[in-house]
Amino acid sequence: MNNKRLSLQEIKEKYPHQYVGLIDIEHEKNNSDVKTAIVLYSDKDKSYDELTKLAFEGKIMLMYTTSDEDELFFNGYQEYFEVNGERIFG
Amino acid sequence: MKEFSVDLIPSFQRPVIKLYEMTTLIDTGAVIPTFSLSPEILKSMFNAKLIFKNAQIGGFGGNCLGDIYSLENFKIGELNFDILEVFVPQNSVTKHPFLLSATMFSGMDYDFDTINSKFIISIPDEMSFHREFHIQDLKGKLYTQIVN
Repeated sequence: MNNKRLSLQEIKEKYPHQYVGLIDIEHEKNNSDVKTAIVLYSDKDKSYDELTKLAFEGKIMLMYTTSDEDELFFNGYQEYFEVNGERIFG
Repeated sequence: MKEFSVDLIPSFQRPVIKLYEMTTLIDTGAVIPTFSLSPEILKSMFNAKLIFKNAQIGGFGGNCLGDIYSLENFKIGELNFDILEVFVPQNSVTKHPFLLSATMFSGMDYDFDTINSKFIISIPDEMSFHREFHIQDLKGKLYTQIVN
């Protein structure tokens, strides 16, 4: 648990490849993107079931920090390939 | 036409909205809505009832086993699924708890405005904001049916 306010990029860098429960979200001006937020929980603190229950109760917003990057491989969509550490989009 | 919109979250590459404080992927290539949530959570959230067990669907980099549940009152903006039958995989298939399928919006006009970050849904005047979405298993194949 951490009470420091972080930007979305900082959240992704500090909590990669995991679910986070966000509170006190500041949204971008013209859309619903998270600009900054406080990470109340990650899936190191609470199980996925506990996090989804908290989200449904409106106590946190649940998101997976690197879903785009991780799912493209996970689901075998092959939307990009990685060659020598460089991503090539299909 | 009646129209409403839900905000897209633009930092995702694919169309993602927020429902019930969770990220929700709109998969226009999907036929069956897939909710990667535990049955206990679905029961408390949507009064879920088990319809049938051991269903199998493909499309997530292979075949995937799970069960079909019937949920009550699932809302997407002004649209209310009085009954929504969904696939609940044994193992999560996506990092988004809710995956909505194109078939859920059958008979509607929907549009992803990625300039203004809106998922816009238009419904013919004669169509209700309430609908039911059913899944049927016919000899091992899953079929969907919309009831307005």
